[in-house]
Amino acid sequence: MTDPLAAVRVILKGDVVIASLEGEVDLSNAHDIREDILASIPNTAAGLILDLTKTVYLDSQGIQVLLDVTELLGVRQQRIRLIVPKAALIRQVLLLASLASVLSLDPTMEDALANLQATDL
Amino acid sequence: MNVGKTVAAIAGLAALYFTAAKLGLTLAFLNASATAVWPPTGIALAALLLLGTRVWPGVFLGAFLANLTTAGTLVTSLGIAAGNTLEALLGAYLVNRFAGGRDAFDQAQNIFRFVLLAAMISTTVSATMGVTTLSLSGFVRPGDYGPVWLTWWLGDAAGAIVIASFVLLWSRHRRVTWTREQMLEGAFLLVAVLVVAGVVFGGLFSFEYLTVPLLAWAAFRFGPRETATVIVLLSGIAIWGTLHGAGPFLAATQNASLLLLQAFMAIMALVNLPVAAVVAERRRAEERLRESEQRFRTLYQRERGTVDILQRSLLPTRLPTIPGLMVAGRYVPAAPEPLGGDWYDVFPLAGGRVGLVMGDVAGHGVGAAAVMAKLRNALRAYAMEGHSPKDVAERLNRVMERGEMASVVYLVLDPVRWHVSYFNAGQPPPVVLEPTGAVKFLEQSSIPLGTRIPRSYDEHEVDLTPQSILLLYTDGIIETRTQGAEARLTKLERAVAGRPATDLDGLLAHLLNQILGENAPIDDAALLAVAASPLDPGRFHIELAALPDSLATLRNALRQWLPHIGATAEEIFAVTTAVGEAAANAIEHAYGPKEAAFEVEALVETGRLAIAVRDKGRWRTPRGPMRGHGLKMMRELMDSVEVASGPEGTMIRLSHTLRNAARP
Repeated sequence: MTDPLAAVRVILKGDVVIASLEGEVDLSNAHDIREDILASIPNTAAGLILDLTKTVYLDSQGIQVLLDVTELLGVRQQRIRLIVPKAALIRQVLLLASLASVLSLDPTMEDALANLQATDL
Repeated sequence: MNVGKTVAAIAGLAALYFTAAKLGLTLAFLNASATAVWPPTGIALAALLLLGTRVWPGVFLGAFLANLTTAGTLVTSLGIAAGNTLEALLGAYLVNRFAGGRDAFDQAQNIFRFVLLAAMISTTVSATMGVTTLSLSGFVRPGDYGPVWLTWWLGDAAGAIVIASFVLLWSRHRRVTWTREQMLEGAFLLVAVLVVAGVVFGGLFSFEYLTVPLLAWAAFRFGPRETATVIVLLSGIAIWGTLHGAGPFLAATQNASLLLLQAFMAIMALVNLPVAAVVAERRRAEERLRESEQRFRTLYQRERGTVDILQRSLLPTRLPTIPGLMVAGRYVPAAPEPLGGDWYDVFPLAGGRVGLVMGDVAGHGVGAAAVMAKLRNALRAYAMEGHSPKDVAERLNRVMERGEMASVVYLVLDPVRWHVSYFNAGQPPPVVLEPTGAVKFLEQSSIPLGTRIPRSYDEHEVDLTPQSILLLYTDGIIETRTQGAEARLTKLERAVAGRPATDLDGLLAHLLNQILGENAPIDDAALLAVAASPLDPGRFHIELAALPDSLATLRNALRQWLPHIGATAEEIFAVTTAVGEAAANAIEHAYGPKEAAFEVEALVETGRLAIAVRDKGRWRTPRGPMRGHGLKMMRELMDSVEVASGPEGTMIRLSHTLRNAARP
């Protein structure tokens, strides 16, 4: 079944996976989205750039997905950056409650790519 | 029949035959052995037909003894007895073979055959053998051979018709199931027979045809059995009268009188018994026809009942509540009877969208209703799995069996954007009534499902003006006996034009009244109308099932309402997210597996937005670090958050001061 609320589109750029999360994530589809994102990252990939530019809604379950993915990639010694444009409405949600210290946010693709290469594991 | 019974039957028959023969021989005036009244022939014939030909010795014995004790010699008695026995055997054989046997008097055709074979032909055997034996023994003078033979033959023939019919009919139809009225009428008939016969044959008014109405009465009002009885009664009284020198049959000699009488009675029987049989046959046929009509009526009503039940079970009993939308549906069964096969459906889809269906299966009755059930359920299943209208159409086409055909229009409406995607397989074009009063048709369509020609169906997209009314209908609405579909479509357009979008039920009632008037449609007709609910800028209220899918519905409803109170994009996001968290908590924490609901109410007062999310569960202590994050998010996004938990359930109050504070 195709999730009517959200979709994950994946492209590979070198050894970096770029996954774009489009749509809305809430209690009803958070689990599926989490599986979709994790399935998109092979062990051989250096890291993941999760593009949230087209993510229009993210509730606490959606945020939990981002935390889970970040934690898992950390365990697997893979790097992760999240693209959240400065004007994005979801930005205020991600910045609150000390999430900013856990999640690695970049406003643009260039920043994300640059920061991904620079990140020490 | 065992030997004992056969012997008893033979003995009984012999005794009966003997008695009847002695009675007949007392009326032998021309020759001591030849009489015009000979009931034994009828008794013998009836006995052989009813009991089987094996009882013939009874006939022989009875005839032999009766003759031996009356006149003639041992030889003449043996000859006469042999003739009587052969007559009975031949008559029984012919009747069994050609005239329906013991049931000969139940059918007119068999009665005529009986008269020809048993009364006229087989009786010549007895007459010839009897008179010849008597002639050879010198008991009949050569010059009398003819008159004696005729007397003998006619006596036997009359006996065969009058007595055999009476015995056979009464033994084959023994049960008398008369009503009180019929018993009364029977008594009247009996009295009438006795009076009329007394008058006619007693010589008061010697006109034998007065008896005809009595026979017609018996034939038409009662039956063959009663008619035969009247004939026997009349014969008896007529013989009594004639022997007493009275009545219409008096001739030069007693014998000639009796011959006339017997001929008359035989002809009366010959005419009236078939009439009675025909009347009875018709009555039985009517009875059978009534029974079969009743049976078919029952079957038909059962089928109609089935169609009705199917139809009712497949139409939505209560249209679903879809936030931001008003929906109304009508189903008008065809006259004189509902045909089945039309259906409409409304169901919520993910993302706050709604599926709208109008369908019509070709054919009618249980078959069409069954196809409709299949299509309705398949369509729902495919649609709810998230397939696009185009995919739904192609999948539906695949579930159609050979010979099934249906027209279906399926629309997916996004009530936030008033965007529609649809396929139309052969249904009349859906109508869009714009807020300006203008009428548009969604014209794009393809051929019906089940035709097997197109492997793919086209999906069409259209943006409607918000606050439009969308109207779906089957062709029962636009087709009537008197007007073509074109004219009806124009009428529909006129009827719908300019109607306000506030009362959909009223709109549908108006439409039906304008288009159909007092007439019921010739085909079943279904109507479905959808419009945006008028928004109350002061208050928002929604009640939803406590299921994760309700969250998207709630967000869509809020996104429709919040712009009306002047909320900015950021505020819409903040409120939607905070309310979404409160609702997700209601769904996730407050309930077990059983179906439940929660409600959201929002009020605006002097620039301040107050929101309450209520459920009937308990706010459980958050598990895990992020579980508490929902609460944290609400606090960050709203001015204030209060959680009140009690045994009745949990209420979360959120408040937010609008940036564009109320401009009075």
